[in-house]
Amino acid sequence: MSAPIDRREVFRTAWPSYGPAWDAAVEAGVDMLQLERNLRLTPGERVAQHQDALEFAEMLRASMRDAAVQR
Amino acid sequence: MQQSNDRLLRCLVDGGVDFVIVGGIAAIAHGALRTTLDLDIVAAFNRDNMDRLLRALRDLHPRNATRPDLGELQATAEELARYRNLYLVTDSGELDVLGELPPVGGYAEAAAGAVHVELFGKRCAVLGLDHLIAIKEFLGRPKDQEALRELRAIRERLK
Repeated sequence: MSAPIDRREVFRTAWPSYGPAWDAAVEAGVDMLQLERNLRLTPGERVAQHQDALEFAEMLRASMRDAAVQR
Repeated sequence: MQQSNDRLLRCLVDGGVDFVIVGGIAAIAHGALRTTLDLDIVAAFNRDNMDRLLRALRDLHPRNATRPDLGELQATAEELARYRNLYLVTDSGELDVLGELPPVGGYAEAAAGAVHVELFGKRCAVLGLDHLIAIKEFLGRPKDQEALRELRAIRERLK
């Protein structure tokens, strides 16, 4: 039985094989669901999404610092 | 200091700097999932372009990334034009300015294969997917191998 976090089987059945590079990415554990979702965005939306993630990570780090100070 | 690639890109485009986005941000623009912090660009290392770069970044107080203790970058455009690469840290984050991008070449070769996309309301040149893959194959580090899997899958998916 595979672990729920291992979604290779899900990816194999959800999409056709687009070729050997696609199959290798599935086997390597690349999140093809996220990849497919990304490919539906424009390049501008992808980079803006990345900037949002950086800002979220920074906010998270600041919150952790504040929590550490209060402990 | 927070990495603000949107602010860096706006400054570079508004400043008329000739550059192509490469590295992790280029990979993200093509759809890759890997995360990266800094902005990497390949730029024309000539006096005029380095002059535009210095003016574009002036308000962001660029420092040498390896020696930020030396304070704001003091080199002139003529001096920078003789550099091969320039690794900067600014008030809006890190910016690597590359003069060469093996095995692709320099700015001219990168620009010839670039795609033009709208990023943060500005039209930017982004390194083409084939060039991006060629560079990752050339570098061959473990982290490049991981990125390669995604980039090759994207190329195959988009065929």
